[in-house]
Amino acid sequence: MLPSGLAALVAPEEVIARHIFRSGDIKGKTGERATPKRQAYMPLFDGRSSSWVISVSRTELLTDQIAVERNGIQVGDGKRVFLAYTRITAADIRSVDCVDRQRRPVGKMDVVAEEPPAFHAHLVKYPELIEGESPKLLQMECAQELANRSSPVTWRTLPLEDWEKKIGAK
Amino acid sequence: MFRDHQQLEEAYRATMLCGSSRSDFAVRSSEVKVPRVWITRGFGSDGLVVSLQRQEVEEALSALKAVYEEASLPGWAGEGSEPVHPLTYDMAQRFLTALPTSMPAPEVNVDPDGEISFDWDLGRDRLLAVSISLAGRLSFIYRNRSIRMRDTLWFMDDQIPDELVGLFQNLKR
Repeated sequence: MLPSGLAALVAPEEVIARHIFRSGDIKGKTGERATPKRQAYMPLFDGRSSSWVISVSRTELLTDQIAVERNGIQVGDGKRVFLAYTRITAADIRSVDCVDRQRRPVGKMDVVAEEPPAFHAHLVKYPELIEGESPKLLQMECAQELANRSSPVTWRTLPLEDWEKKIGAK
Repeated sequence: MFRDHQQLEEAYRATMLCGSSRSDFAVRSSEVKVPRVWITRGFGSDGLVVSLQRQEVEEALSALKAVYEEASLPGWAGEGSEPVHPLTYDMAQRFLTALPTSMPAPEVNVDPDGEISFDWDLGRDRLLAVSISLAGRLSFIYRNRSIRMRDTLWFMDDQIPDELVGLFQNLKR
């Protein structure tokens, strides 16, 4: 059991939230049908694990939309303004195949707990070392698959916090 | 001014000789604020393709400037994200300006590694997504319903690779 109260292993049925901080990561400006773009799932290099990852939040103990939004505001960490979030199940993440040039599966994406902070997790196993392949291409494909499997975005309803106003959010 | 008109006429004549769209000339003559026209490609399946500054390219260039400014500092998309290098920005500007008229302006975005991306998303699982690096490397993924492709091409001498233009044509069918 993790300090947050969540199980150490992410169960397949768990709903994962990907917080979004820029409008460029969303296709569609408003409404219910706005969906995440590939850019919302493009990985960043994590120096601690020396691998490509993207941060997400487990929502098992975040009881409602407001709780997910508050978590997103915390993730902004005083630097980025939380805009919306999209949901995807752990099973859907793990169903994303990483394929080689001949389209043969060589691995699958995964989600693992990464606390602290509470509820934090990483999407991992973005392919990076397939001989003769560009990691960038593989990451683009996986990010596109993740975006396709994600729900339409849920827009933020909470008002801006003072620090968010100070950094110029509208 | 006279020289600009002469260039337009030459481009128009070349376009008409090859049976390409008449609308190219209409766009050039009335809407182009900076009538900078040059021939970028040879005789392909679509005839002579002329690259020119159009209204939608101007809009794409504005979008490019906006994402460049947004992603100008390290960490702009979270810890570890790279800023867009000025040379990448320059390369992306040249790419947009070199697009043939047979390709509409793409949606412009930026990846966390500092590369600029251009997406042509036609819906229903039809997508051409291209990411350009500082050196002009074009990483692209292509999805046309059940067809999936990915590869690397190069943007050199301000020439959009034929393969990319061909893939977009297939996407429209």
